[in-house]
Amino acid sequence: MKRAMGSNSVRSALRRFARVAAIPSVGLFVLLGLLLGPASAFQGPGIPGQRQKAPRAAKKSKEPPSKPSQKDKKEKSETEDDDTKGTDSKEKKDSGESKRLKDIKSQQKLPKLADLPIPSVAELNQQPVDWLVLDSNNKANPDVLIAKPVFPRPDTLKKLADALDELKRRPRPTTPDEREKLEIQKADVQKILVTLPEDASGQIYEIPTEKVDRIIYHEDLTIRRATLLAEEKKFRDALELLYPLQRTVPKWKGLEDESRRMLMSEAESTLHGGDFQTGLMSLMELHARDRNYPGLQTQLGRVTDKLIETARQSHDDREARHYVAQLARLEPEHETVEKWKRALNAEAQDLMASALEAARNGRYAEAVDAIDRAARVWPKAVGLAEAHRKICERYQRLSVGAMTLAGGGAGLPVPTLADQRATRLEQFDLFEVDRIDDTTHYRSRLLEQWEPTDLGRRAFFTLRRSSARWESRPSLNAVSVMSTMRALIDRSSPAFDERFASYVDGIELRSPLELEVRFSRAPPRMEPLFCFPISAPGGAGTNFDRQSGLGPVLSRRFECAERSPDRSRFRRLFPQPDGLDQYQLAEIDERRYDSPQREIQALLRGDVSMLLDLPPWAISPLRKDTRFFVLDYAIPTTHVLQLNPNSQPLKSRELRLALSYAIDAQRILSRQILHAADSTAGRLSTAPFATTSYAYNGLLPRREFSASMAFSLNAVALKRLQEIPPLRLVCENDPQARSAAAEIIAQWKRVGIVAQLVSPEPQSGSGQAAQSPLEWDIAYRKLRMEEPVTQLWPFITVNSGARLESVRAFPDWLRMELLDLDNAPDWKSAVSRLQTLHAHLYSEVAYIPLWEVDDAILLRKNVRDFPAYKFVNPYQDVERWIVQSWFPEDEP
Amino acid sequence: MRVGPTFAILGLIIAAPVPSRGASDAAPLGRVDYLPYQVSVSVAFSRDTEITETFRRTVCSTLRTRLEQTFGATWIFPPGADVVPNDRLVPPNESGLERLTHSVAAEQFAGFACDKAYFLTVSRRGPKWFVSGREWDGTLRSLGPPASETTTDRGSVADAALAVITRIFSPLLIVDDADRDSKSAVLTIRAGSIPYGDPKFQPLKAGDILQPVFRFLDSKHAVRSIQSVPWTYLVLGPDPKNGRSQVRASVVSSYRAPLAANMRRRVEAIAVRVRPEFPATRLTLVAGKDPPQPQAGLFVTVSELAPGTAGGKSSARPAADSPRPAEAAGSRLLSDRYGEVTIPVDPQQPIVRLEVHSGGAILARRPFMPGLEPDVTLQVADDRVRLGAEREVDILESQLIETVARRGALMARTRAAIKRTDVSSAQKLLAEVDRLPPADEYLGQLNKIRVLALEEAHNRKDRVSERRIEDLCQKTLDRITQYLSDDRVATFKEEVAQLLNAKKVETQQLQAPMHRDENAAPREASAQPAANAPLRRRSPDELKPPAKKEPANRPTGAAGI
Repeated sequence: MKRAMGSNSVRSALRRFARVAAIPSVGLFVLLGLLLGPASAFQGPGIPGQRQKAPRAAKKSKEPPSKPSQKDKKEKSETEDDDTKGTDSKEKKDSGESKRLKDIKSQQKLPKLADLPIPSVAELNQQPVDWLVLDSNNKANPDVLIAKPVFPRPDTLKKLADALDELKRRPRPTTPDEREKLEIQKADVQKILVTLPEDASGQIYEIPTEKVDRIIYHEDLTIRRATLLAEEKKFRDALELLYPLQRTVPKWKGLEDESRRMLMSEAESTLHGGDFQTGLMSLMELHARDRNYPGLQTQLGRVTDKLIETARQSHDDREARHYVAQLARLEPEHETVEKWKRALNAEAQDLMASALEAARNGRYAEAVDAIDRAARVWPKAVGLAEAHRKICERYQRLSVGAMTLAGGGAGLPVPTLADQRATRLEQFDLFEVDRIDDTTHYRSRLLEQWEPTDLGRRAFFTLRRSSARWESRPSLNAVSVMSTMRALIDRSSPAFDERFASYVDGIELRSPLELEVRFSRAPPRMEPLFCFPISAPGGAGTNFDRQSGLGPVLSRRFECAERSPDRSRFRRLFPQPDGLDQYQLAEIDERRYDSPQREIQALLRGDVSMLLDLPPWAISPLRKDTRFFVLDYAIPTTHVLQLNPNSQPLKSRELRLALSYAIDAQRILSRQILHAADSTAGRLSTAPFATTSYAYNGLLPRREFSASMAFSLNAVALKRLQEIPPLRLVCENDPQARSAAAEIIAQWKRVGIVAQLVSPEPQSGSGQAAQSPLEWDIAYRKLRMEEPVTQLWPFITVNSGARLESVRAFPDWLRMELLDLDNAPDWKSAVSRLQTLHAHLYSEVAYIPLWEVDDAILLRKNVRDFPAYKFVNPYQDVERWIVQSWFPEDEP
Repeated sequence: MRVGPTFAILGLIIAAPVPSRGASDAAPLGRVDYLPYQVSVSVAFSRDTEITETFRRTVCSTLRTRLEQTFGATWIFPPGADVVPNDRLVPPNESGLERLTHSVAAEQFAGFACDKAYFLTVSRRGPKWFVSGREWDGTLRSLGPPASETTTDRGSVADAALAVITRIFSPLLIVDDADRDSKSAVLTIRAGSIPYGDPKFQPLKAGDILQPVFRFLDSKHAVRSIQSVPWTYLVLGPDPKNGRSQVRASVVSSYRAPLAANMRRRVEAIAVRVRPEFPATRLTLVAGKDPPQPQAGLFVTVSELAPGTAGGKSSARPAADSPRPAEAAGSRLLSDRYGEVTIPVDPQQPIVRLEVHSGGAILARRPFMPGLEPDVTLQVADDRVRLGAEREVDILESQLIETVARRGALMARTRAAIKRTDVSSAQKLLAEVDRLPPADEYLGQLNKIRVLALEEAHNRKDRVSERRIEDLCQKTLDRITQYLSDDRVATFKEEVAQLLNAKKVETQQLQAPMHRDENAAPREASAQPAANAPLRRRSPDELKPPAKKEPANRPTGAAGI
């Protein structure tokens, strides 16, 4: 019993001890689990499952590893529980792992480290691999096992060794299960699980850590490849290769150093090649990473120096300031910044001094050049604003941006809008269009009074005795006006004007400032008849107007001081005297830009203060900008295809109709001109004048686009003409017009009409060389017809005057209708005949109307005193404008 | 004793007029070819230190001698007439000659009967001597154009004067007969049977142009009026003189019988040689008379006058569409706002043919010799009414072209739609064809144009325009009928209907239950067409009564109908 009792007491004591001992054991296991948890987590999400499979793989390692079957897997799962129990299983697993490595070695000959090339960029991007350098006797050239990336990483071997040491330092578990688990854990950290890159089945291999000498990771390989690329001067490729690493493992050993070194190398290389801009970008990137990188500050200063010098050599002071400011933002205390600030300030001061000196000597244009330059060089210069205001308000210059300049369309059969703009700026007519609303209003700079008498059969003209202070014009007397008119009605004069002579019977001088005009029949409106400049009496052969045969034009206001393909300067013909309280505009500086975007850029940079020909899509964002005025033209710009009356193929009405029907005008207008389908800034038209004009026949339906109609009409034309040569479409060098013309040609091609775009030759440097006229069939024209009653004839005849000889090619009835229009007894009849003529011309396809666009002028708000109503031409009353001193002070 | 003086006095009275008629009495009665010219020559010398009285006399006497040597017996100076200095011409130079009028000239020769008189001026400018002259013709009561010669030799002034006179001397010819059919005339040269003093002197040559003039006489054979024959010229035949006084000339005129009509008593048809004295003639085209309206914008074709067709007559018919070779070969001038064209002289073609065109019509066709006069006016018909009709018809034809082209395009698209078995599109396109303006609409418009134009022409009593408008409208009518006939649309509709039927039959055959298409797609693919087959066995779901359609889905309005 005692033995029994004793045994019972011992048992109970043991039980108690076991209970007491179990508590720390469980705690120990929990702690171990917590310790091992992060390690397993470090190995990635897919690893735990694989780790569980590892013993199974070890058990079945006797079988060939290349053919794992379903049956094998089942067997593995059945024996899993048994295998996890006994300690002998560990020995089996160990023997299995060594076999697996042997299996690998037996299946494939492992490459030597020295023989392995660094993977290419494509290989690196295709599949990341790690190189496991195996421990062997050949230390110089060991075997390498190429495997998919191993975990944990980096420092895999060290981390595993540390983990093993940690496990070893743990107290021995009390229970067998815990001991077994510990043993398993120890075994796990003594091997590396790998999968082979070529193994599609994902077979996991266990490589004992003692067999692995070191691991060359994919990241290391990437860095090595990047280094090689950098050595080949392919810095951008190398950096591109490293960017993913910088995002994923920014702290990888050597990555940041290599990147910085590469940026510096790239900067040095590009600087050596002369690409300072790219070099600066590399240096700035390097600066963002490490501003204290050795040599960076020096290089930054050197590159900025070079860039500033280059910018200044090309006279782009704004760019130079941009580089100074850029460096100042990076290194405000940089010596280069200080140096250039001093230099630019000093130069600005010098320029300012020279500008003031020039202004004192009356060389105002030169003074404005210098002070503007000073403002561009260093706008923060002390005293600049005051000097600028003083000089620029004395000699006011308006810089204007445009896409076409006068003379740019040399060889074109018709003057462009730019040519008309320049002509109107340089000279003025006896009567000029002042504004347009329901009708066209005129004004005269020369005449104080004009009064029709004798039921319109006579008119008395009284000239102004003096001119306004702001005007730039010569003082003309009645003799000059009379001699011009007499030349126009003299049939033997080359300046003979048929239309004018058909109205005017004679001119009589009443006094030096008065003359009387006798009409053979009363004109419906007098003013349109007298829209001509006043010229000096003289024969042909003058430089100013060889065509007219008159002497030089006297009614001039501006003169072209400089003309080049990209720039035109116009100055007042009569400069303003000193001592005035208020000065007006003295000079217009037109600059040509290739695109609307460039124009807007120039406006925003402060290079120009006025834009003339911006398309509606470009204007609309600027309408809300409070820095600018947006002034709409009084009449929209009409786009029209003008047909050459002497073109043989175009004498076929069927071909003209085919050309008209083949154009999908709405599509071109929306896509090429307005850049928006729902824009209201443009509309289709049936006339070469505005749809709001009194001459427009609103009842006239427009031909709808019909490719099938065009095709069949072209076929009929081809049948009649036998052969249609390629039509030559001539178009001015205006980007908007050229893109539309190219689209029109493409649409014609779709219906079988062949046409080619003919461009005017670029203007020569002097601009004086005579250009031979272009051979053309069709002309793409942009125009603003102010007075259709007088301008329609010159338009359809492609001739400057209303000569009967110029309508020779037209049908007789059309000729008579044009004559009837000129012979209209009153304005109402003229309008009625004009609307009828519009319908008949459209029916006859004498031209192909396209669309009209509401263009606008953009003015910086430092310009004032321009007309308060809508402009008829861009430089309306420009002598009266006041341009206040302004220069851009923003940081570029 | 008293009878003798009485008879003597009577004889003197009777004989008194004889000297006034001069040498013409020496010619046989009615033989103009033996009738010499009674001439007078006056020379006006400008005031110049080198022109002395002696020089004047020398020039006059030398000229007289030269004239006798040149003209011989064909020229005689009636009593009182001679080569004399002229002090009455003011100024005594070319401008004085320019200002000279027929009446002023006639006054100077009122005292003696002259057939021709010559006014000469002699002036000096620097080393050059200028001799100008102008012929006055008593028969035609006209002053000829001025002509001048220059010389640097003071002693050759008389020779230069002779050269001027030989240039401006216009022989007179009497039209004896004119043949309407052969367009020729027989003329007698005045003094043609009298030899010239200088045998080399030939004032008339083959090809010379003569201008006919009618002298209308009264019962006393006094000249009642003189009238030139407009747009008529005579071209001399070969060897005009050559010892014969009668010559033959071809008649170039815009009239059918310009001379024959007036070949009657008390009318003398005289022809005078003319030469172009101006470099060009400005021709003014006018219409109407009160006041004449200049016709601007009319084409004037100047072309070579084809032999045999020289007498172009006024065209009353519209020009044919066929090309006109003469027009193509000649130049086309356009009259300016004053209705004027300038026709230059062509030495190779002294007479040209003028055609005045208005649209497709020829308003006038005339033979014309430019250079005779500085300005000539040609009256043409006012063609505005016809031209207006031509404009309306032209615009109508333009619309016709568009309609025909649109119809052609729609028909082609309809055929294409049928070809791809798109019946609904084909029917829509066919409806569009129906919506196109039919021929009746065009015919109605044409009729409106025609009636309005004819009415206006009728009001103007312009029958030529009426006929031209009728012709114009008839041509357009033919075109409308040809290109826009209803038969074409009907034929096309039938064709479309046939094609649609064929397609329908083809579709029905394809959908027939017993049809087995070897090339057809698998049954699943053709399930949809077979679903409409009448004998198809329907599934139980299909046998259910169809669900009522929602009222909202019902078509409403005209579209549904």
